[in-house]
Order: sequence, then structure tokens, then C-alpha cells
Amino acid sequence: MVYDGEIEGKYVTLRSVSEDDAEFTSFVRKDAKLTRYLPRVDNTIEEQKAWIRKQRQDETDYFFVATDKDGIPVGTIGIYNIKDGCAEGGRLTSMGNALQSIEIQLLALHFDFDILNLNKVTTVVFKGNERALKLSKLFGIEFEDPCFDERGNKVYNGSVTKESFKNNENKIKSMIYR
Amino acid sequence: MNNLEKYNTAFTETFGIDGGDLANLQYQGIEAWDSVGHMQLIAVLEDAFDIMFDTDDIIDLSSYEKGKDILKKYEVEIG
Repeated sequence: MVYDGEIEGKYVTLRSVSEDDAEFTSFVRKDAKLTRYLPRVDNTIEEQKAWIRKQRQDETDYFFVATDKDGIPVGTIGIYNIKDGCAEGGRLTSMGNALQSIEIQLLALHFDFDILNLNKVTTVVFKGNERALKLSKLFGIEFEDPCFDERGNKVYNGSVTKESFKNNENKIKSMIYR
Repeated sequence: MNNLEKYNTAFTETFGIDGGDLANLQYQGIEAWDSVGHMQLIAVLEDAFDIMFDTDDIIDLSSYEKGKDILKKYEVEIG
């Protein structure tokens, strides 16, 4: 699905992915460091363009590229499997600095709860991905004990309600906005 | 505790590392110094030296050594 507007932050802007982003989005999903704890996607640019075309038609799926204030892509984030006021957040990658990385997640959750009006967002974090766990917990995401997903990966299932996010939102804003 | 000790303690306690690991420490060089860890470090340094970093300095504080230079702007001399 395409979100027509842009989600403007102080350090980054989120905009819906387009075919022009195929090279960047393909690059980040092949980068060993960025995808250490994400499913590696090893496709061609043409295959990535086809995936983006399909993604843009999917009404249950938003995928954003985060750009810095010069318009340079610095990360990605998505929300998908949108159904009955709930959805799954993921596809987070960031090559930006600390403030940009935190703001990408902040803007995405703002989109989820204030623009899409979702009630709850779930997420899955691979065991060992302490960075994602820490970042998620900062936003009020609570995790269950680890379990195995359908591919046999040990994962943490987490979720955050709109209320819980709102309770943490101002704290995060005061941390990164000065 | 002198300024160097305060500075070192901010890093070792925030990231759970030994003093011997500080010299070449860089942002994202260890698991603990990620975006969230970075903001925790900033808060600890601000508290320790009673300062408030500008946004540009938060971004520029990309290594243990660089942090010493940045603190000079706030009239904090690290030995």
C-alpha cells in the first residue's frame, strides 16, 4: 500500500517505497551487518522492483524508506499484516546515527497508532538481537519468553498497545528532541 | 573522582565493559553502544558533568576519544 504523504521528523522523513528504491532496499537486505538478525533477501534489482510493485498494491502492507534531511536513504521500516486494528511491525534497518535510528521507529509507531489508528502492533525479534530488543523496549514493546518460529528460529514475540506507546512517546521525544 | 575517572566510568558502567576496552571504542563498535546505548551514555555524561549537549554534539560523539574533544566545548577538560 502507498501512503501518499510523508512522515516528517526532525532527523529523518519516512516515505513509501517506490521502484526507484529497489537498489537501496535490495542492498540493505543483503548487507551482512544490517541483516544479521533478519531473513536475508538475495534477489536481483528486477526481482526487487517486482516485489515493490506487489507491495504497493497490498492493502495490508506499508513499507517506508527513511531519508535524512538531504534526501539520502538511511533506513527502512514497515508495517504489515494489517487486520482488525492490529498489525506486525518490522523490516527495520538503519545506517543512520543514533538519533535517526530512534526517530525511524518513533515515526513508524506514530504512523501505526495516530494515522492508521491501530490498537496494537506486534513484532518478532530473533534471539540474540539485543539491539532490536533494547530499541523495542524503549517504545514500550513487551516481549514473551523466546519460542521457535515456523522456520525453527528462536524468536521473541513482542507487542505494544497504543496506550503503552503513548505512555512512552513523550519520554522518547524529550530524549531525542532538544 | 576526577573528570577522567568520571568520563571513563560513564562508558564502563553504561556499556558494561572494562577500562582496558576504552581506547579504541567507537559507536556501534560493540553490541552495547547502539542507538539506545548512545542516548543512555549521553544522559550519564550530562548528569556527571552537569551539561546539556547540543544535537550536533550528540551525533558527533562517535568514539571514546572524540567525546573528550567535545566535552572541551562545555569547559570540561578530560586529562
